[in-house]
This record gives sequence, C-alpha cells and structure tokens, in this order.
Amino acid sequence: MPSNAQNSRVGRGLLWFCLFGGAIAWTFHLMFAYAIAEFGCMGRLSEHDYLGITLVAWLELALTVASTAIASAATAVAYCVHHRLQEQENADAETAIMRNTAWAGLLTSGTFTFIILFESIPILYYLKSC
Amino acid sequence: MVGLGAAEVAGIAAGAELAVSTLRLRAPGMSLNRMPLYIWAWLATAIMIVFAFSTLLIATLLLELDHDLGTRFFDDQKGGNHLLWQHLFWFFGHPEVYIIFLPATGVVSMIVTAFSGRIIGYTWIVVAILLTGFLSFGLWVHHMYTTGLPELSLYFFAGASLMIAIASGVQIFAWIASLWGRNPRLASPLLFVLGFMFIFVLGGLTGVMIAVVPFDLQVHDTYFLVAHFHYVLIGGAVFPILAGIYYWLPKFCGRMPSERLGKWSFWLTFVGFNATFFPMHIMGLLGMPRRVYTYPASLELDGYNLLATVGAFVMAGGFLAFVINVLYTLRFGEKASQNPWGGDSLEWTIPSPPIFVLNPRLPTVSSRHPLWEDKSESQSADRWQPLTEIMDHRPERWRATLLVDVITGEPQAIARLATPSYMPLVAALGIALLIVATIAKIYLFIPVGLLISVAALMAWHWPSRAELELMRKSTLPDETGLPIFTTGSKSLGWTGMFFLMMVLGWCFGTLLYTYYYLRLYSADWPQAGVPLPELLWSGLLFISIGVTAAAFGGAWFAFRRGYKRYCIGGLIFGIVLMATFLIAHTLQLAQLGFAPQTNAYGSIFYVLSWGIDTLVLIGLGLAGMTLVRLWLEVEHWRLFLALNVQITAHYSYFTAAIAAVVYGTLYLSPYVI
Repeated sequence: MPSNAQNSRVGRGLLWFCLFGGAIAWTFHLMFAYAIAEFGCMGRLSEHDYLGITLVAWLELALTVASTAIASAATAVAYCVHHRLQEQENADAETAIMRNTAWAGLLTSGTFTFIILFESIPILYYLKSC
Repeated sequence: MVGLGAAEVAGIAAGAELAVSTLRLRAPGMSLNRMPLYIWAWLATAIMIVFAFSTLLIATLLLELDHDLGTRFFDDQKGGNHLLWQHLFWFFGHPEVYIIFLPATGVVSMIVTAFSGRIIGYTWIVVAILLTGFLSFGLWVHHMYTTGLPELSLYFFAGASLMIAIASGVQIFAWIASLWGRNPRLASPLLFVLGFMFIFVLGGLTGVMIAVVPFDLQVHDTYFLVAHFHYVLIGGAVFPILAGIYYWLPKFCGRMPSERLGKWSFWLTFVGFNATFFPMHIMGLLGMPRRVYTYPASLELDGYNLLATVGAFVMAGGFLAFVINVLYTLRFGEKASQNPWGGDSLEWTIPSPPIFVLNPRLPTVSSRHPLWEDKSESQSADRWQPLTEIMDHRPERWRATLLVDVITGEPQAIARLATPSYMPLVAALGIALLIVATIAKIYLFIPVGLLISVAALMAWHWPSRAELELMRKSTLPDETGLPIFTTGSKSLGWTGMFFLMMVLGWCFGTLLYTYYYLRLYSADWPQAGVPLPELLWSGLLFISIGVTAAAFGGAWFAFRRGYKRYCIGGLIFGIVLMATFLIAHTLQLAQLGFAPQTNAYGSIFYVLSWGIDTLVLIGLGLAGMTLVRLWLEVEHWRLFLALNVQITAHYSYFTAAIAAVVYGTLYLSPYVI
C-alpha cells in the first residue's frame, strides 16, 4: 500500500492546471468568441446556415462546449486532488499547502465554468442572425 | 508620447520586478496560502501591470509612428481604423481601473484583519483577487457599446462585465463577515474602510447597471458615468489609501495620528464626497452630458449642481483635515508602540519607526498570522531558523538572499543580488538622452542613449571575476545545503527572463491583433494593389530563425555534457545565422514595392517585420555576451555559465515560435483570408 507521503504528492503541473485551467479556458473562450463574432458577422459566415442555425452560431456553440469541457476538467481535477489530500491523516505542511491550492483551484475553475456558460447564453438568441 | 512610452516601460519593469520578488524572494516558510492578502493583491496587480502596460506601450508606439513616421494605423482614408485605437486603449484602460483598485482591497484586508482579529474567507478573497485579475482583461468592450460593434460581440462582454460583481461581492462579504460581531474599535483606519465599503458597493451596483447594454446606451457619456467611476475610484481607491496611511503612519514615523482630527477628516470627506457625486447620478439620468462645461437651463439642474459644488468644498475640507493630521502626527503625535493596532503581519515586528539595519536576519513564517501564532507550538518556524541564523550577516563580501519555491515557500537556493552601483543612474541618463533626442528629433542620439543604458545595465549585472571566485569558494552551500549557481526555474535570472518573454509575447500578440483587426475591416487585403507576399525567399529566411534555435539548443545540450568546444561551435553557428538573417531581411524589406506610409497594410507589415528583427537583435546580443564569457572562462565555465547558455537557448526557442506565428500571419494568411 502506498504511504501517506506518497499519496500526498501532487504534480506541480496538475496543481497549476487546477488553479488556472478554468481561467485560461475562459480567456480562450472570450477571445475566440469575440473573434468569431467579429469575423463571422462582418464577413460572410453568418450567411451560411445548417439546420436553421448560422455557421457563426455553430462555431460559437462548439467553442463554448470545448471551453466548458476544459474548465470543467480543471474543476473536477481540483475536486479530486482536494478530496484525496483531505483524507490524509497527519498531513505534513506541504500536503496542507497542496490541499489549499487545490481548494482555491476548485473555487476558481468552478466559477470560470459558470462564467463561460453565463456568457454564452446570448448565443441562443442569435442562432439565426448576428 | 515618448515620455508616456518611457513611463510604460518603467511600469512594466516595476511590475515584473514586483511579481518575481513576490514569487521567489518571500520569507522562508511563507507558502502561497500564508501570504498576506495585501501581497496577494499586489501580486495580481503586478502581473496585470505587465500585460496591460505592454498593450498600451504598443498602442503608444503605433500612434507615435502615425505622427512621426507617417504610418497609417489609425487613418481611415488609407486602410487604417480609428476604432483600433479605442480597442487598444481600453484593453489597457479597463484593467487599469483594477490596477488602481486591487492594491486598495489589499489594504482593506489588512486593516479588517487587524481590527477584527480574524479574516474570514481567506481563500475566497484570494480567489476573488485572481478572478478580478483575469476578468478585468475581458471587459474592455463595455467602454465601446456605442461604437457599432456586432450585437453578439457586445453581449459576450456584457456577460463578463456582470460577472466581475461576483469577485467584488465575495471580498465585501468576507470583510463584513470578519467584522461581524467583533465590536472593533472605530479608529480612523477602520472608519475609512467602512466608508469605502459603503461607497464602493454603490459604485459596484451602478457598474452592474451600465454593464447592461440597453441601459449603457441611454447613459453613455452622461454624468451618470462620472458619478459611477468616482464612486468606484474614490470609494475604491482613495478611501482605502487614506485608511492605509492612517494605519501605517505609526510605523512610518513612530507617532500615533490624532483620532479627533481623523474623525473630522473622515466625516467631512465622506459627507462631502456623497454630496458631490450622488446628485450626478440624477443629473446623468436627466440628460446632463459629460465633458461639457455647461448645461441647458431647461434641464433644471441648478440645484443638483449647486449641491455638488458645496459637497466638493466640504470634501476639500476633509482632505485638508487629513493633511493637518499627518503634519500634526509627524511633530506632536503620541509615541506609538511597535504594534499599535494589533496587526498580524511581519512589518509590525520591527520598531516604530524602523531603524536602519544592515543585513537584518530574515524572518521565518509558519502560519498565516505570524504575529498571532503561539511560538511555543510552532514547529515549522524553527525548521528554517537555523538556516536564517547561518545567513545572518552573511555573505560578507557579496550580496545574497534566499530564493524560495513559488508554492511552498521552502528555500531552494541562494541568489546573488547586484551590488550597489552608479550604473542605474548612468542607465537612467541614457534613457533621458534617448527621450530628449526623440522629442527634439535629433535621431542620431537615440541609439547613443539606448546603447548607454543597455551597457550600463549590463555592467551593473556583470559579476566581477573576484566576486565569482568568492561565490565559488563560499562555504554557504555546505552549511545550508542550498546551491548558489542554479539554472532553470530554480534561478532568479530564469524567472526574470520568463517575464521578459511574456512581455515580448504579449507585445507581439497586440501587433497580431492589430493586423487581423485591420484585415477584418478592409475590403481588399493586401490593400490598394499591393501584391501578395512572396513565400519562398521569406520562408527560407524565417526557417533560418528555427535553425538558430536548434543550434542554440544543441549548444545547451553540449554544455550540459561538458563539451565546451561543441557548445562554442553551436553558439557561433547560431550567431552567424542571426546576423545573416538580419542583413538578408533588411535587404528584402528594402526591395518591397510598398512602404510603411503606403497604407495600413504596409504599416503593420513593416512594424511586425521590424519586431522580428528586434527580437533577433536582442538574441544576438544575448548569445554574443554568452559566447565571449564562455570563451574567456577557462576553469569553472560549467559552474559560472550554465544559466547564460540555458537562457540563450530558451530565448531562441521563444524567438523561433514568435517568428513562425508572424510568418504565418504576414506571408500565409493573405492567401487564406
């Protein structure tokens, strides 16, 4: 069986993903959503439609799904890391720091997941035109 | 504008310096979750400064080029776009509001903690700071609702603008919860904090209102906006600054401020502020435009304006009382104890006022509230005390400090610090010469000024042979178990280089945004009969930058394996390639059939090309310096020069990545979009 110390080790990359995964997903979502809307609505993308929905809206929806997936993944990973570290008995100082960072990541990435979804509501009102 | 550009560069440097210091030079044991909230706020602010000011720097540069060189970025007649300026400015301008506001929230957190004896929701407040830092960059379009952007774009930014209320709200609730039921003493610092909360909540509520597009369309450019941003900026920044001055004044001067004058200054400022700015909400809703010195009599706004004027005088009385209080405190205030407010942070461990001490012993930290912890129960504090005892008054003949891990705050290495020198002054004089030469249009002196400042900075940071020997022979590594010569993320220089690459990358990001924005609003691209770019020759040129990166990567590989000769060979090959690129690229640009002044396409084409040349030139300087030092260092080259070779290699990878994106944009994208 792995010891407590082994269980408490969390990779740095994973911790940074927990903390900033949601934020980075949101950044990409806003930047690309803006770019698609500007290029699509100013150009000819909005003239093409599939199943009654413009190509611009399809792209925006796809972007939202991808960004939400990344932010949700960061939230889920943060939850799992926090949960695992919380079960540690007699956790050392480093484990406590990791647990706290994972908790901050859970809050940050969770909030950004919500923000991505909230920001995307207007897409539903612009399915047929810009 | 040149002066503004210099201030922006200074701001970026200060931001990077603050961020690197906060991340790497904390007290041993101060992990991220033990960092004071004031420092968290400053860390976020410093990183925001780096990004926001980089954007403004590019915007200023483009405007300066339009004025002085005749480029066409903002000239609608020549394919430019005046709205581009608004985008670039507000991409800086909105985060700037939070750059002003966030440190103030840090002050509030410290005062609330001291006066309530606790802080509830520490992690939530940290998360709110991070949220604010990120979201502030996604709100710039809410200053441009009326400029005719596509509706769908507007609503993305409206959503982000509404969400910032979450971050602000979390902090407000945490502070209220911390104070709730604690019956704190209503001294001047806390009074100003409570005033801040009241005013800022009102400013935040109107912020949510103007984030809503239809409402903003109604009140845009009216006094409603004037009222809103004064509630946010005076409530959100000036009140906390006054609170902070009252809070830390005893530490600055060793004397307590007068409470009676403090209360007078608070009530006059608070009442005067609300009397001045609250009526402006109503004036704005009634149609009084901003930036106009008068208003039509038919609007019947005399009463509101009179009230605002009276309020302004009352508020001025409050500021006067504050100034009198500070002067009174400096001369007649009661003697202050070391920790008069019962604060929990490290500044209260030193005498009031602080005494000048050479090499004070580094403090160690084992909890979030180091001054409130029970030292007898503290285990991990003692863990680092032997280390700081060893470092006490050492090293004696060179300057050093402990370098800690970003997350855990555990000491990782001993970092050399630059010695006191006149070189920063020389560098500043060089920059001054550069600015004066630019303003006076004596262009010959611009490179002279630049050369002076770069040479001075290099001389300042260049360790002498004697100093290197002292470092090599130091017994500190054996005594502490920490290395002095480090590479990668364990070294301070690498962290600094990482920030430099972030700044340069962001500047290129802004230029690329400019390129695609101009492309979007241009009917033909390239504009006005300019032919499509040639692919083959330019492709070969840009590939040479990739080959340079491979050469420097090879040099770093050889260095790690101890092959000095191959390392030198790799560096020389890379340097020759870089020099060849610069010459060939300059010749290629000279043969183009259009100029930066032809149209906006020409302007952005040349500026991006010059940008790549600048990157390569910096790399050339870096590699040249490394090569010379490696050549001259016979005995301990593996110890002394590892970081230099590594940084040269990493910088060349970065240059190659940027060059690939720029090539794709300048040469390939016109064939596709």
